[in-house]
Amino acid sequence: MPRLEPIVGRYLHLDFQGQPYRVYFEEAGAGIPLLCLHTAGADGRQFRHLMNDADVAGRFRVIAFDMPWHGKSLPPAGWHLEEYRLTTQWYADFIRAFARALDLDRPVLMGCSMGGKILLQVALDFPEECRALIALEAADHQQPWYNLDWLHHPHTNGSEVCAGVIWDLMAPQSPADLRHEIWWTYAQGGPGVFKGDLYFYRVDSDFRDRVARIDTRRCPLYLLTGEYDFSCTPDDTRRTAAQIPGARITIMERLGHFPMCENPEHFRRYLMPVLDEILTREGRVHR
Amino acid sequence: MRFDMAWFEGLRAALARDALYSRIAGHFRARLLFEDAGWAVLTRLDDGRLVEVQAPPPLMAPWDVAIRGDASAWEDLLAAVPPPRCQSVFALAKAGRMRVEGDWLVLLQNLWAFTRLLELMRAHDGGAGRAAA
Repeated sequence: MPRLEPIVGRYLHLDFQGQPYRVYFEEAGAGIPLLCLHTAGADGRQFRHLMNDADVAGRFRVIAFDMPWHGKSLPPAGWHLEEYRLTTQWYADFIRAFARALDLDRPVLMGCSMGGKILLQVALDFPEECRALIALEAADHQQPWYNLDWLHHPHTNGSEVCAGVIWDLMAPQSPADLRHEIWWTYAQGGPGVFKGDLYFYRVDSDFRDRVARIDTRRCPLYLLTGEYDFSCTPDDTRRTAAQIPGARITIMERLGHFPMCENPEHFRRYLMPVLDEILTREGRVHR
Repeated sequence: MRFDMAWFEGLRAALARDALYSRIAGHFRARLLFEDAGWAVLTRLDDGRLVEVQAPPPLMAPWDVAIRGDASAWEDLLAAVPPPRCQSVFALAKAGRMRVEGDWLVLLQNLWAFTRLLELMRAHDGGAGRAAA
């Protein structure tokens, strides 16, 4: 018998802002939709452990799509004529369009890094369309710590530079094989894509003047940050949570910037109580 | 001084033994200066091999990249399990506890090998037999 994972991959044709997109997504499980958003310069493979976790997939329909320009989602026609730059509004609207195209009924949204940060905008724009928001390694603002031009530079190997700068963001205790897998996936990003994502993350998403307007009564917000993350530090997340009444914050020990894929077994001890709480709120039995 | 010549002799062997470093450092050519307030060591790497160590470096000796930090920063960086957000020179530089200076092109063209070098320095500093993951 072949040993098959429960994950299924498909392509969605999505017309968005007058442009056709062919979006790759993977899913597993059944139940409340749990829509997962990958980090900058990466793709939905980061959630493969979650999709293979029977305790999660037994209760949630776990879905992760590759953003256009990432993974198996191609950039739109004409991509080569302009520099790729992800913006806050485009990103939030695309997530909304994807969820609507799949007819997801008030999904739980969980994202990491840029995928977590955009949830702060989602919390402002369309909170009632979500059951809960789980923002990993997210804050209202991160202090830039290196010159992004090196991520896409003719004198360097962009693959290795992109992978190299994220390597240190992981906790040294995380399993070496998984850290090397993350390195590998970052090395597979298209030229300039990581840098273009960080335009959103660093330049177009200073939310310090607006996070206080987030109303967690409209949609619960969970903020979980790894203690080894020096890009989005625990203090960044604490500062953010302090401005949002009702926001739930957890600082995760022995985890870095990629909790769901650098050490998924350890991460689940932080995630499962959050998922259980969401199910309880929804009136569903959790186990 | 934290590192002496014998320490670097040991590191030389550790680099040669490491499968990952050996695979990725074949073109790694750089003069790296390691420094804190009390000591400085200038190393020269040629195709990944540690071919020269000078402690202290002679006056006016050129270098490509300098890694500078106080004793506590080096202690945290090279700890067997570094404290949170002390796991790399970039983390410590962002926190204002270390400085990375020099020719960024050299550093970024060799970033993967440079990163592995520092991990092997950590493993070596922890004593014989501790392998870098």
